[in-house]
Amino acid sequence: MIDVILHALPIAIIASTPLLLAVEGELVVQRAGMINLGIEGMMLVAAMTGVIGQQLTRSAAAGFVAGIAGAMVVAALFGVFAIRYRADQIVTGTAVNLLAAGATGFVYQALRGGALFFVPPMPEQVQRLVVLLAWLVVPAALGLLLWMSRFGLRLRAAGENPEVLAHVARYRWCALAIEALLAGTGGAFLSLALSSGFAENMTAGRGFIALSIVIFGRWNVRGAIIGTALFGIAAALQYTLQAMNIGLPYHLLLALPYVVTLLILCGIAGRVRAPEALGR
Amino acid sequence: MKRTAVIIVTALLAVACNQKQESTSTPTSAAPAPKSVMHVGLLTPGSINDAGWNALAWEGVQRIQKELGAEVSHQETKTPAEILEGFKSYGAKNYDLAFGHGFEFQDAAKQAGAQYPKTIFITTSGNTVAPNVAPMVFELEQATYLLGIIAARESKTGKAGLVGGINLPSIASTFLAFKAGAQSVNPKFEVKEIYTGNFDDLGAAKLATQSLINAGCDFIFHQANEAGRGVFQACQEKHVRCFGSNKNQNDLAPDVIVASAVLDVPGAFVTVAKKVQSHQFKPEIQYLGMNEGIVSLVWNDKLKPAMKPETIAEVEKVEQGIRSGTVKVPRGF
Repeated sequence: MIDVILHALPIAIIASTPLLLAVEGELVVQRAGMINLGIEGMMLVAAMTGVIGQQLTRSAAAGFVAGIAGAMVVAALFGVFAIRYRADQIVTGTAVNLLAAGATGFVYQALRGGALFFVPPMPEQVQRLVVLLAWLVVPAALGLLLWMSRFGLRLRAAGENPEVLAHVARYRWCALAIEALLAGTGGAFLSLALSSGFAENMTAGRGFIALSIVIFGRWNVRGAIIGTALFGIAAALQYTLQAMNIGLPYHLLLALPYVVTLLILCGIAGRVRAPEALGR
Repeated sequence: MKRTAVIIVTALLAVACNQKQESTSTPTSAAPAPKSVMHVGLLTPGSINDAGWNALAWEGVQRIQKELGAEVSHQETKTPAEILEGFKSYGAKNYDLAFGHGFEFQDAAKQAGAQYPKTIFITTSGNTVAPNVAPMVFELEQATYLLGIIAARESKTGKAGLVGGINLPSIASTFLAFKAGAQSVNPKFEVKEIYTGNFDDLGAAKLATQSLINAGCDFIFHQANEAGRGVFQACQEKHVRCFGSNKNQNDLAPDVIVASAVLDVPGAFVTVAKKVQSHQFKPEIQYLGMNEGIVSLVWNDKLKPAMKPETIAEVEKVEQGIRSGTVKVPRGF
């Protein structure tokens, strides 16, 4: 069994990298007092613009830049409604997701699918670099930024007690930009490194899973990493279990990552306290 | 006030996005005009640009439009309620023929068929037959049986892996035949199966494929439609050989795809539509396989020379057997 887990571990870590980037991004916005359901749409748009960028320039770097740019556009749309006009965040996020699914589907169909969206495998060094960034560099940077800097203190104040802060909107926009940077990278990584290109609805709910991992991880970086790692390893392991043909129905095994993550995070999380002004 | 405005905009967006995509096109003027124009509708469970299962149906309906001068229409229907509504809409408009593209369309076809007796409802795969309802049954198993033989003959590890989207009877049946083909060569040959639970998540299909490769499989066959691209990418990275399904997918990853099990769905649609147009339709299961020219095994010419000559000879021999009826390929339903 240990052997099986060790085999599954590296591919699990790579496969759950887009999820981790999304979790990290959503952690920042929720700390600033926003629930961005639109992260699913953000990743989906990034997955598409990333592929277009890569195919036009034949460069993975340009693919990531295009992916981030796509996510920024979606973030700006969410921000205009949720920050500038203080619209309901849940409703705005849902609308953003519907729009993103429709828009990417439309472009995909208009371009007739096919060759433009079938990209060659990404060089392994680039993949490793992104994985390293997501699992080590970004968590360290977020820890420093959110809890060791004046900027981080104010950003968290926007989520806890916005009344005492002079420029709430400014910090929320910053948080949204950080999220777009991370989720955009995640979306582009998903389509370029893990999927050989874009397909409709290819994010398959990763944004929503990220949202719940942030909550079950108690809005801190450690919880985010543990939660994502648990989910990713369980997801890879259940495929290994399916391949071993142990006689369990595959639907049960497909549910395994959700159940495991839920149980373990509930067990270690204890009392949960959300940012005071979350959603306001 | 602002909040209300946003909610209204959101609601409008939601409605706009949920509108079913319906497209109707008229026949080209050059087509020979029969006495009355035949109307043909198509319901697909997913996007017609998936370069797979659904794209084939759309191509079939377009060929009906071109070759039989029919007027055609398409709707994407995902839920049972949408499917029934889609069929009924064609029945209510007195369409001559409505296709439901998959096993899961049978119940709705039967229900709509009883309500609209003038329309003939055809489901792609299934077993439900009524006076105006019949399934087309593609015998893709004939080709996946041959793929199983190739895998068992050429594998060095004695293991092959199968990646499926959802465990639908039509998919499980092709896997069953693959397994039977492989085990006809070597009864101890191991075939491992994984389902990812959907047809959209290419990343999940890739992860599933990697798990199979880790478990020692050195041939991979998929039935994951669009998500199959994730399978090919995993195979490309590890230089593991694999097979294409439904369409000739050999060009998608020419270095690793050895052969494709090809189903000429467009041809099958035209065959059935011709029967309906000439009033020769009989309410019975419409079997369409190698003998009807609908199913075939297409080698990747680049990789075929790397195969053992015995493998190729055996595949040819068994194919003859299937065509003449001496080799019986098992079906899952």
